[in-house]
Amino acid sequence: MMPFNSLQNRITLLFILLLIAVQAVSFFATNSSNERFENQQLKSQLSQAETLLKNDLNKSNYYLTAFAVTVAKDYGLKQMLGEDTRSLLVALNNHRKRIDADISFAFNKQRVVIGELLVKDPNDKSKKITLGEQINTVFSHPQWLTNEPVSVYYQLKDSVYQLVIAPINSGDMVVGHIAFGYLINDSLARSISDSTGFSVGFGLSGNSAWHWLALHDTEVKTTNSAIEQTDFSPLTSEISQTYIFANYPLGTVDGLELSATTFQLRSNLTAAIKKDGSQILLIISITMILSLLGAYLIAISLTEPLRQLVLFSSNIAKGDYHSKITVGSTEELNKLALQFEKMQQAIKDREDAITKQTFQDSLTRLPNRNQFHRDLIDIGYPFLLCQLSIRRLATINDTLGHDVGDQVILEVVKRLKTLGKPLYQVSGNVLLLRWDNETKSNIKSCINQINSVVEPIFSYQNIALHLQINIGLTESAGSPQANQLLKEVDSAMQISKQKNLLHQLYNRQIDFNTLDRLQLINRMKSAIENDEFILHYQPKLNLKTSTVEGVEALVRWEHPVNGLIHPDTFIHIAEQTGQMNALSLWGINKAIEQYFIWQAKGIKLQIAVNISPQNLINEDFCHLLINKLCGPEKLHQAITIEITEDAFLDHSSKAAENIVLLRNKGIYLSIDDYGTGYSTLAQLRNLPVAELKIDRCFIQNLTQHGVDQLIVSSTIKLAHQLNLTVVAEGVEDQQTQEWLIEQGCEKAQGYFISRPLSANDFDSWLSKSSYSCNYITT
Amino acid sequence: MAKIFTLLLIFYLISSSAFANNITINRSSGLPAAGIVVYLTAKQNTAEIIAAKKLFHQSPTTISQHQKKFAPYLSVVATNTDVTFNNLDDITHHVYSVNANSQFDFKLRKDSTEKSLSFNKKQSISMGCNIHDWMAGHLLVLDTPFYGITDEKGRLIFNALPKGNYILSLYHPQLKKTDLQDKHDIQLPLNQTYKLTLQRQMAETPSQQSLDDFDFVENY
Repeated sequence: MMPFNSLQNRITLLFILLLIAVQAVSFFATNSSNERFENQQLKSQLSQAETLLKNDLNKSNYYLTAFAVTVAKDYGLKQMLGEDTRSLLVALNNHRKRIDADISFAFNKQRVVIGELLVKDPNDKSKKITLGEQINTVFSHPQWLTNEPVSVYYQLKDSVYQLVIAPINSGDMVVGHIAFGYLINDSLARSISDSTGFSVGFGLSGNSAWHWLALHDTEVKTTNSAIEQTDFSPLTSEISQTYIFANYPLGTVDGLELSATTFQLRSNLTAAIKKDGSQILLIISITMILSLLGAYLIAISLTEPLRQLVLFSSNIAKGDYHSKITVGSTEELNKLALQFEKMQQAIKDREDAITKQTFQDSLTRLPNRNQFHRDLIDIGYPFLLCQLSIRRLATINDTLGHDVGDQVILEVVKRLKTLGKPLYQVSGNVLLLRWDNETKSNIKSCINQINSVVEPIFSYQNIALHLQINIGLTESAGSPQANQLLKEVDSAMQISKQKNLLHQLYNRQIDFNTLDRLQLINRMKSAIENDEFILHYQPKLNLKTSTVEGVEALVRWEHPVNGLIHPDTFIHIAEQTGQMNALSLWGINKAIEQYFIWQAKGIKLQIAVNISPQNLINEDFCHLLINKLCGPEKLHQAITIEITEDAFLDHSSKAAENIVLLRNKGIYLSIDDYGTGYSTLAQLRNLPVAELKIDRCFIQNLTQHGVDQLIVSSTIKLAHQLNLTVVAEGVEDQQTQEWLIEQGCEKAQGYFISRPLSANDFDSWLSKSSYSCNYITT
Repeated sequence: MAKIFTLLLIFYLISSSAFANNITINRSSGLPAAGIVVYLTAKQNTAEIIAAKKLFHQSPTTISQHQKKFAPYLSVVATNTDVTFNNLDDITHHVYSVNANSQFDFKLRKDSTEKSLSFNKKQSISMGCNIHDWMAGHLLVLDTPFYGITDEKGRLIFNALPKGNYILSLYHPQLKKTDLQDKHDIQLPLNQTYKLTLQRQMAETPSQQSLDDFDFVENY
């Protein structure tokens, strides 16, 4: 079943409603006109019946009169008047038989009945004749015996006759009378009924009493018992509900009114009308069905083009732009079809353009991530996938403008193309390079090839740019999962970025970290509240005195499920989710707590706490810090603050203001991870920091690399000239430590001394170590 | 005897001439009643009356069928006196009477013109023609010779009737029963005109004309 709101159904419904309305109107009009017609016809039938009835009676009257007059003039009969009674009766009966009269009389001049013959039973075929009882008596109605023929209704006992009396003349003298008559009975009623189609009855009424004299009811088959079976009486007024009838007075009989009645059951009439009505209904139903079929076909023919158009547009929706449309011959529909085809072409053109963009980068015209997906489908061999990101591109865009940034990208792409490997552009600053049929055993050579083409200085409008990249790598063994590979290679590249590495090969640990980032973000707030963080402490050794004078507090997350989580993983999250203040404050509070614990043990240890550059630009945090450290307990002597050099670079003015503020309050500040950022000692010169910590990347391989030694020794010298204490991080062997002492470096940190330890482990380490420490002298 | 009768007759003639009895009959409307039969019945039989009856014995009467009519319409005849039917037309007539006392019928062809009948009882006979329904004639048979028919002015004169007491009766087919049955005692001779007015209005005397419009009937 189609839905009601379909056009086809609505058209069909509209037609149906119209048809029903039209047919209903025509039905009721026809029906009511039929009823009117029937009523008129009935009236005309009634009047016709009256005419027929009167005609019949007149005819028989005329017939009787003509016969009686003829007989009266018959000389034979005249002669019989003087003969004996038996002869007269025989002659009278001879005449009576000729017209089959039911009654006949002969009267003499003195109005005495000299002959009277009656048909004993008019219904009996044999028609037995009897002698009347009035013979030899004066006739009861002498006034009827005149010298003219007379027609009367004559009652004898229960019967009424239509009687005609004619005078018998001798010359011009009336010498007697003769009379013939017919009985008014059921068969007369029936003969009239047969010719009129109505029920016919004769009734006598007088003194408000009324009875049927003769009756033929068309409803009752047997006429004998008709009178008993018909309760119809024209005198009762309510009968008109059941019957339609008309009364015709015929005359008086002995003071009673003789009348004829034609009638018909009203239900017969209505049955006829109903029959007509049902025929009309049948005709209407048939035309209705045919019309509905027609309406349905019209609706289909009207909606078929629409269906075609719907099919056509659904083909377009499916991406089939080659289907043709034919929607019939009407001008409007053809125009519409033409517009649809134009639309199809327009959609096709636009889709082609979009498709191009979908699979190609607009700047470099390199195939994009989507194309990468597509290409990967056909690859069944192993390959190495590199994701490359141009370092400091954001800085170039900010400082030199996006034009230069774009040129840098184009240059890098141009150089990478020389490798002849499939190259894709995933985003503005992210490129993919596929090394087909290579495995991770060849990473070194691949990286070297990439680096060798990218490394040369790029000169653009007299700016010499040193192009550097971070590379994430992953390996596809066979059937590659594009999304998985992209995720892996991206994770690896992020690591290489974070760690400032040229390249990073993907491993599952990276994956784990990446996967858990989201969970960590959600957990961090409650982790701070639940004290899931702990501080580990790494000793800071005074190289001159071989004394552990302080420690660097390093935050660790003891995740209840994942175990110990490295700060590299979660600090970044804390910074991005605005939880750095809370974490830093927690660290400071914890450090203060630990300071007092050690103090209680009589050990005096300075605790250095790392804070984020984000903390430094926050006024509230700085004031909180000042309140904590510069109170009466003079904790600024005990707790020192370490900041990475990024703090000065990214948020220079605000951060610098706050650093000055902190320093003015007497808080001891160290520059952490010096050398990895882009700060120069010249920048640091203006900052009121007390300590410089050289990043471990310069220290770790110090003994092997002359360059590093040069950098470190010169850094130490410059720091000293700026009155800064120098701390070397990442001291991992005796040799390095001795070299540093030699160079006049004040402090050292590193695995050679101790890795970061929990408070308890630190205590036991300290008690076992050969290094001394400061004790509180009471 | 014959001489005596003759003498009496002569005497009667002489004496009666002096006594003309005038009778006038008027209709109930006052107009003269013409064509009414007036007949007198003597209450006693004197020698003079017997002589007068013989003297007044009248000759046979002829009833003609002329132009399809009985002519005259009303005839009077004494008992036992011939009545001759004479067909003057050139067609056949079937004359009949269905009177209870004197039924007769006979055809008068155009050539056999005469038929004589006589009746021995006083009666009125109405006659018709079985062929021509409209023809009607009446014959009054009287047992007295003293009768006459009034003239156009309703007058009738009985001359030379012996003196004595008589009953005067009237007859006409259209007279009403009362007038027919009325008997008037009169004494002759009348010394003045006896005037009689009918009690009831008379019916119209039929014209004996065919009611049919057909021209040809005139010839049949």
